[in-house]
Amino acid sequence: MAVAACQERSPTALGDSQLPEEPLTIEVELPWSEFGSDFQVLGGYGSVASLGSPVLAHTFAGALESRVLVRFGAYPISAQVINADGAAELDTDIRYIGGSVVLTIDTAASTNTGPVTLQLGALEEVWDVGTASWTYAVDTIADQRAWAQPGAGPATQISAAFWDPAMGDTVSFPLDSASVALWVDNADQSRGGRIESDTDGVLLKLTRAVLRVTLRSSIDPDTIVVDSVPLIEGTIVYDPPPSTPVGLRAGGAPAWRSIMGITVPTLTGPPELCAAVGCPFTPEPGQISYAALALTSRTTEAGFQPRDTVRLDVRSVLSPPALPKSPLGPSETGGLGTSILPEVFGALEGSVVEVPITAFVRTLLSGPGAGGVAGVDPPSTLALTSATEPFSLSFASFFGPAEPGEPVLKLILTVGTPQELP
Amino acid sequence: MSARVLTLALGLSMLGSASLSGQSLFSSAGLGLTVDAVDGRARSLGNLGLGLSGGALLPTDPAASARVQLPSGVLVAQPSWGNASDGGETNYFSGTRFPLLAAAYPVLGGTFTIYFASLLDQDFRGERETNVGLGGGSVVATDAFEQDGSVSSMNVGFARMLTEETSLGVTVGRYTGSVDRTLVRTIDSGPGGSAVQPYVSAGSWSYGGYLVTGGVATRLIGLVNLSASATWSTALDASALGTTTGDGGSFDVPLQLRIGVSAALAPGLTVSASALRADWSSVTDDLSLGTVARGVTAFGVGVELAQARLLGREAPLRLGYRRSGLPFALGSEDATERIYSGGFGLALNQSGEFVLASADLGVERGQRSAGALKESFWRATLSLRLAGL
Repeated sequence: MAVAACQERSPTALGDSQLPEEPLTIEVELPWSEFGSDFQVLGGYGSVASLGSPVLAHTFAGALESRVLVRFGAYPISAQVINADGAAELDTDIRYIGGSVVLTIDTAASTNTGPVTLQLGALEEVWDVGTASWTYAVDTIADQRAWAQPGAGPATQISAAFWDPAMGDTVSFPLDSASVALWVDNADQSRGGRIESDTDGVLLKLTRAVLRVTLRSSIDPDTIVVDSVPLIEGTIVYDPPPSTPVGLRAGGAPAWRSIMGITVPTLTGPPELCAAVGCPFTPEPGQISYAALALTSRTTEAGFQPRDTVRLDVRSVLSPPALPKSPLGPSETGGLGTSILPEVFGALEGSVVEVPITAFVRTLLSGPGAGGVAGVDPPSTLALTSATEPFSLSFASFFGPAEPGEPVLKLILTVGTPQELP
Repeated sequence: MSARVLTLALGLSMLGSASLSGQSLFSSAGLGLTVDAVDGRARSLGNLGLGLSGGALLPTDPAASARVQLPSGVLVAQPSWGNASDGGETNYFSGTRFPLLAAAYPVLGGTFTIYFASLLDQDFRGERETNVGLGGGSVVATDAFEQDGSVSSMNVGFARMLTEETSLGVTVGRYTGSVDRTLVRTIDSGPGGSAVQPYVSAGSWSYGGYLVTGGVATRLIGLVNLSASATWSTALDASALGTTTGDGGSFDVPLQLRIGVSAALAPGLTVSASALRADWSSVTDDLSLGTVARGVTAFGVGVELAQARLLGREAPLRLGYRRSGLPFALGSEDATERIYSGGFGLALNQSGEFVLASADLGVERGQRSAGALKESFWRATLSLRLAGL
């Protein structure tokens, strides 16, 4: 019916005399002793090899050394060339006559302002990309092998390069035929290159590495073909490792997590709240308008201070007894994490950062079944993590329990009288 | 009852008499704005729903259905547009409701009827802004309140002619409907700009209770139609639904007395008048927000020119005026409603003396007032009646 299509607009009260009584919104801050428990910091989550952008460092921040280990894929075994008749022909009798390793560097995220010298060496020992570290080439449960020299050494020097950021964001290591031949055997578990910086005090962030091999055709010896060999795996080895955590820590590679138990106690204040609803008062889930961990930042140790925005996440620990291997629940921050400026962990030490946990606290207060399992209490343990693990060598640091600036649970409560009939 | 009438009745019951949106700010007072479940003809004549010539399907005039000679159905739709002002701010509103759905079927020497009728409209919303202290500063919080509710009745009845001129009718009904009250507080931003979840406080209640309407209609000296009816009701009970923590309630509904008369002054010229009295004052004790309920009196007068034609068909023209008190006002002063109306009917399909399909349109221009609060509105009422189903 046509009249049903008329735009509907409900009558709007001209004042608030017809509206229900105004609810009370109030902020409450609880010290760690009233809400927190079972604090611990756990490390070792993920692998350095998972870092999307490895870094090169040499005495960065006075101490940090970081070298990049790379392993390239299988070389091409044929090439399409034009024969004497002018026709395309597949040449399977090709010769590798040289090549180059080309790096692409994130100039904005790298710390150098001037030229740097880089070295490329060929690894000489069997190494495992998933467990290699500064000390160990292989570090699995059944097999632990140290490098002959800490820092993925020794390595056969095969090329050097000079990179000036003013000239662009790529740097190339020229390779002769013998160097190219070093990595031709796919079955060789020691196959790989080590890239390091000779220039003091710099940190370079790599975004891409590729091997380009130069081929000569047997069909037409005057034909030179350049083909790309992709990087199939890589990692970094760095030294020194971060010191033992003091306070909260999140991030790094492998990643650190800060674990804590959370309870929402019966409230006995502030006076405005007690005057409105009476105390002691146990909040209901719907009365929690906002809940957040208020964390006070501390300076992260040299070499591991964040240089870009830090994204922290909070996730529930689904099986605390299984820690450190407990599965985690979904992100409490929507997956993107809470963004924090890097200066907070350096020059702006003492900044208070709020990580929202509203949904977690509401679920916690809802009681058994609210966590998705009937009759079972919802998780009451939280993990403060990097939004992506691992994301960077750097990590976030905060003051912990029993320290000045210990974590605080901040609540915004809204309480009102029940709706009544007119 | 034929399958077609049964289908119509079921269809009507599923649709129900519904209010899609409120039509007055007086909906926010007490139990709301009283709604007259009448058709376009009665609306355009300023009539309160009884005493008109011919058969009619009006819950306020149960005896009139005795003159319905064919299986029939009526659907009434009512859009309106208005504004309210307290001398300063002016708010606009609009909405459509379906105040009456009815069906009749001649049986057992009389007429069986079923009505779905609107009784009270409770829709309104409001908003206020306030400052709350958070994070050492002050942020703006907005309270948005919405009340979505209505009271309707579902009635069944029977009417029959006692004599050639006089009929009796009775309906028995049950109150239906519900009201939802929801307050949502949103805070623009929390500390550090983090989103603060809205606070929601809500309650829902369903209405119940019973009502009986009895009426008599007679034709005097062949020229004057006279009807009277009375509605007695149990209390209107409101029961809390689901997780609602607010209390239920029970509201006294007064005896409603109505009388209506129409007279043919000349061929094709009929005048009508009707009046209603209901004392709602006893509801005051049942209202929680301090609203004072009052007894109300209403009357309406109209004139119908039956010999007008449109597109070669009968199209009676109608004019009317109506004045009534409202039982619930927003302040301490009485609330009144005055309406000027006009309209016409159109026989869409006619077979001999039987009108098989007809439409009636009433257009009203009205004002409601209580102290400084004034409300003016345009309202259209379109009813479609089908017979011989």
